[in-house]
Amino acid sequence: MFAVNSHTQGSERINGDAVTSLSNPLDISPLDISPHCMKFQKLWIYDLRIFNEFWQTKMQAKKDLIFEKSIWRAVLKAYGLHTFSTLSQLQKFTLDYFDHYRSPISSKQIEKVFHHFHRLGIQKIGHLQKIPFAQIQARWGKDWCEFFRGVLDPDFTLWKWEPYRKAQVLEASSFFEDPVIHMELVKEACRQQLETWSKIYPSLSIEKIILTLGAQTEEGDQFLEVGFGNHPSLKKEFAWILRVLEEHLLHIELQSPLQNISLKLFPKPQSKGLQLSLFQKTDTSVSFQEISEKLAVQGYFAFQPELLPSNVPEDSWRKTNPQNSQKNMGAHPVATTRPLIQYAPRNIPEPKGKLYFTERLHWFDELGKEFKRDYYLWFSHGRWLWIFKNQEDQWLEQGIAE
Amino acid sequence: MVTTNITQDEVHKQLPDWLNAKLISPPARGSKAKGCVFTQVLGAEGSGTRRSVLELIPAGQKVIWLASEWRIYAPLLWTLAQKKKLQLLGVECADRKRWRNLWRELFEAKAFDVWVIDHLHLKNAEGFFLKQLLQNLGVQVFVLEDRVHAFCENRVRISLQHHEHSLNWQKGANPHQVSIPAQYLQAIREQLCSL
Repeated sequence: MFAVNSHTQGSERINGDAVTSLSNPLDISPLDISPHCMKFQKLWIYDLRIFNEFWQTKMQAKKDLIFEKSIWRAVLKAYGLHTFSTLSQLQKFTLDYFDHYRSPISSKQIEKVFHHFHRLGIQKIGHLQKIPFAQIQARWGKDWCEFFRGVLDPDFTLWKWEPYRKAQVLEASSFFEDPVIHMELVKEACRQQLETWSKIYPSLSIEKIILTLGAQTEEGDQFLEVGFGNHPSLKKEFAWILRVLEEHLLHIELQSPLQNISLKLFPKPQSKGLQLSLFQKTDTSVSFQEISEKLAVQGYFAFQPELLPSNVPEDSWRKTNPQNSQKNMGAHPVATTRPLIQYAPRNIPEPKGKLYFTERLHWFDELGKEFKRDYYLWFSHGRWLWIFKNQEDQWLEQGIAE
Repeated sequence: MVTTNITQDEVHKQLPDWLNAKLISPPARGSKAKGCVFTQVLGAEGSGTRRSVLELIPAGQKVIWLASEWRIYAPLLWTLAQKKKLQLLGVECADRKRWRNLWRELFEAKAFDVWVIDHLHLKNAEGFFLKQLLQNLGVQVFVLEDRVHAFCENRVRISLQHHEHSLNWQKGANPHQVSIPAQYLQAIREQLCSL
C-alpha cells in the first residue's frame, strides 16, 4: 500500500506545529522513514508497508491522501490521469517524470513523440494501448517503453524508488586569537579546512561554498558565496577550487578586523545511478550485515547458516541473519561427513546393488517416540544418492553426494 | 581439441596457481568484457560442480551464492569455504521477475569479488543483462547450469568418473583437462560396508 500527498500540504503537515502526531499520522519527519518515503516533483510518496494495520486504517481516513496498491497508479491519480485523459495532460506528466529522473530525453524530444502520436490520430491515453511495447521500445528506446508500461499497466510496473535523503552540508568554523586584517590568514584557514575535508571525503564533488567572515560586531559580517556549475571534485581539482576562492577573496574589502570565519560546503546531490540504490556507498566496505539488512527491506533474504543442537540433517541448521550466524563453521562435528546437496526426504523403492553405510541416527522426540535412520550412499544412474532406512523399514532419499 | 593430461600429484601442486592465472588472465577470445569474467560450470547434479567452483575461486574472496531454492547443506558449504578463507553469503530468491532488481542492488553494493549463480536456469536475455551490468566491475561470475550459455567466456564441464571429478575446459583460453579427486567419496570408499 502506498500513499501520495501533494508537496505543499505534505510539507506543512510534516513540519506542522499545530497538528499532533495522534491526530495526524504523517506528522513525522521524512528522514525518520527515509527509505520508505520519496519525493517526486511536488508529491510525497510513502510506502505504507512499514506501518501496522492500525496506522494504515487511521491514515486512510484522510481525504487529501491518495491510497493505492501501486505507486504508478497513485501518482497518475495525483496528476489526474486516467484512460480517457488527453495526451496533452500526459505530456505534462512526461516532462515532470523525465526531468525528475534526469533522463537524457529532452523536452524537445518529448514534444516530437507526442506530435507523432497526434499525427497518428491518438488523442486519449487509452488509445496508446493499441501500440505494442516492443514497437515503442524499437522506435524510441527503453526509457520510453518503461514509461508507457507504467502509464498503461500501472499495477504491475515498478516505480523507480529514490529514497528521500536530506542534503549533507559540511560546516566548520575557525576562531582567531588576535583580530585579523590580512586576507592571507583567511586563505590559509580555508585551505587547511578544505584539505581536511578532501582527505575525509575523497569522492566529494562541490556545488556551492559559502564563507562567512565574522567581524567583531554582527553588522560587520560579510558573506562570500561561490557556486560551481560543473561540480568539481574536491580532491582531484583541489588547486583549482582554492584558486577560484582566492580570486573571489581578492574582491572583498575588510571593513573591520575579523574574529572568526565559518566555511559551509554544499556537496553535489548524488547522481541518479547512486540514488536508485539503497546502498549509498561506492567503496567496498559494505558489510554483509548491512547488505542483508538492505536486501531485507526490498524483500530478499540473504543469510548465513546457524548451527542448531540437533544431529538430524534437516534440523541441524537454519538460515539466519549474518549478524547472528556463527563464524566458526569448522566446529560442526558432522558437517564434513554429509553430502553437499540435501532436500526434504522423499520415498523411494528399495534400492538394489551395493550400499555404503555412512551413519546411524537414533533419537527420541519430546513425546518419547523413537526414531531411527541408517544412512547409506547408493550409486544410481551416474549419481551417488544419499538414502536412509527409517524405523519402519521405509527407504527415503535425502540428498546427492558431490 | 588438444588435451593435456596431468598426473594427480602435479594437479595438486599446480592447480591453485594454474586456475588463478587462468581466471585472472585477460578475457578470452570474442569477449568484450573489461573486468568481469563469466565462467560456466556444466555438469549434472551430483557431478561435483559446487565443490569444483569452490576450488576455482581464489582464496580470501568475498562470495555471494545465489539460488532460487536452497538445496545445499549449508554447514558443509560454509566449512569448505572457510578452509579457503572465503567469506560466503547466501541469497535465496525464487521469483524470477525480481532477479534483475536483486542483481542491481548487489551490483551497487560492490561488496563481492565472486558471484555464484546456482541453477537459476537463466534465459539468454537475463544472462546478457547481468553481463552488461557487471562489465566494468572486476568480478568473477560462475554460472552452474546444465544448459550451455552463450554469454559465458569460459566453459568448464565437470563429469564424475570413478570417484573423481574430471574438469574439462571447453571454451576460453587453452583447452585443458584435469581431475580433482572427490575427497568425500574417497573417504566413504575407505569405510565401505555392504548391506
